[in-house]
Order: sequence, then C-alpha cells, then structure tokens
Amino acid sequence: MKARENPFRVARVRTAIRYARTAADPDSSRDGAIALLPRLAALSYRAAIVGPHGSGKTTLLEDLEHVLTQRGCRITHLRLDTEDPRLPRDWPVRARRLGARDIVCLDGAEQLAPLAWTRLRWQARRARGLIVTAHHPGRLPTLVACATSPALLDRIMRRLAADDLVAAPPAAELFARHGGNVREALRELYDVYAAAP
Amino acid sequence: MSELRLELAGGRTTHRPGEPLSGRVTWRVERQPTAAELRLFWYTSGKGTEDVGVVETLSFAAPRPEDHRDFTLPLPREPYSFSGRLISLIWAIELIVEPGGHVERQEFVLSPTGKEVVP
Repeated sequence: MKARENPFRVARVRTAIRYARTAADPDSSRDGAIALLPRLAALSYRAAIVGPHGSGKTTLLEDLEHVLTQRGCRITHLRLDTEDPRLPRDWPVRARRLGARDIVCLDGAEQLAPLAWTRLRWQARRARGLIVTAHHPGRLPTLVACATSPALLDRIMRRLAADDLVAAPPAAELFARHGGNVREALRELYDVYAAAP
Repeated sequence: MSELRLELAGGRTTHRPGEPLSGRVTWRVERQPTAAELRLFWYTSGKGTEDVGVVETLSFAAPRPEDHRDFTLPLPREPYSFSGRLISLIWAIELIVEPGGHVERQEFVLSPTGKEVVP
C-alpha cells in the first residue's frame, strides 16, 4: 500500500484523532481541551498533563495551545525529549520578555533535572501560565491524567480504518504488546497496512 | 457561508517539471478579506515526521469579499511526486483567504512521465 493511502499515516492520525478520553464520551475534537479550561483557570494556568508514553499528552497540549491562542494568549512552545533534553539556547532571552499574555507550554518536563526545573519555573514567573506534560505527577498540580485502554485503541482503529480492519491484529492484543502505548500500536498498524498490496 | 474554488487549467491533475501551472481561483466570503494568497508547495505523508516545502507564494492585491483571479506559477524541476510504502511526496496548491482561515487545496502530480514515481 502506498504511504499516502495508508489509513494509519501520521497526518491522518493527527487530524482524525485528537485527544480522546477513555470515558464513554470519546470526543475526537478539540472539545476535550476546551472542557479543561475552567480547571486550568482554577489552577492559575500552572498545571501538568500527566500520563505514560503514547497516551495523548502531546496531542492534548497542542489542542490546549490552539484553544488558548484563539482566546488571545501567546504561546511559547518548548519541547524536550531524550534526544534533545535541553532548553533552547535563546530561552533565557525569550523568558525575560514573557508577560501577562504569555503561556509557556513545555512538552517533556521530566527531561529537566530538579535544578533546571526550578530555574525554568522562576524564569516563567512573569508569564500568565506554565503548562507541562510529564510522565509522573508532582511537578505542577495535575490538570488531567491521560490514560489508555484497549477499548480506546479499538475505537481509534475503527475510526481510522473503518470496515477495513481485516488485516489488523485485535486491539487488545496490540494494546498488550505495546504496554498501553497507543502511538506505538498505531505505528505497528501502519506497517501492517504498508505491507498489504 | 464561505465558498472557495481552485481550478487548474484544463482540469489537469498531472504536470511536468518546469512547465507553468495556471488556473483560476474564486472565493466568496462574508467578511472583507485582509489577505488572499496562493501557495505552491509539496509535503510528505507516511509513517514518520511530515516535511513541507513552500516553493512559491502569490498574494492577491486588494481582495474583495467576492472575487476571482487567474494565476500562473512556474513549476520547479523537482522533487517529483512519489509514493513508497514509508513515505509519499505530494504536490499541492492552496488558496488561503483571511480572516477566518478559509482554505481550498488541490493536489497534483509533478513528474516527467505524468505519473507519480513508484519504487
């Protein structure tokens, strides 16, 4: 199968599946992020999206950035991962310009050592908000804990591949094989469909 | 209710490298546009991170809420449209009318043979 026809291609996954809650109300749109705004305000816009690998933290952070931008906020997006665990060189300069409209969104807060984390919080003190993603609670009050389930994966698979799931392994099997990491499960499904004629 | 249309000359969906890409864009939007722009670009789609290359941007001067413009853009010589199992490279032209983020996209094949390259 050609890459552009693969139902599990990244572009399709990103547009068709936004943050999906595991509850019975599996909204795939940005409504999931909008529903979090009252709690975010109650936490003074300083909060953490917590969850394991592949549970939708980054997707939800992106959705939040979108709805906050629509509401007049200015977003500073920082992304850290194991390959690039350091803040950008120009971050201290950017931090000095932060003001009441700015919300700093840090994807991958667990990459920062305690001292670096303390420094970042201090540098972002003038911003209106600081929202982070992390694998474990503790860095900031938890805004939402992202979780996955075999039922969620099954629903995503059906949404992306509709009735053409004949070649795909069962969701429960995939879920178990990838330890609940939905992103990795969807990557495996990409390969399954890529191998199809 | 907004309406955007992007028509390539002769309804062609395949083009050869280096030849001109022409057509007509038509739009009808509720608010007075602040910008109307045509973007010629390629993007990748597949298993990995997406990449995009904007090759040409054409801004239409003094756009009206109901308007149409003819355009001609030179196509580059590469990259060709291709599609493997891991990645596809897709050419497209996009009309954007602001405010409101109205977008209309038309994809086409850029290739010397008239077909996307398939390994």
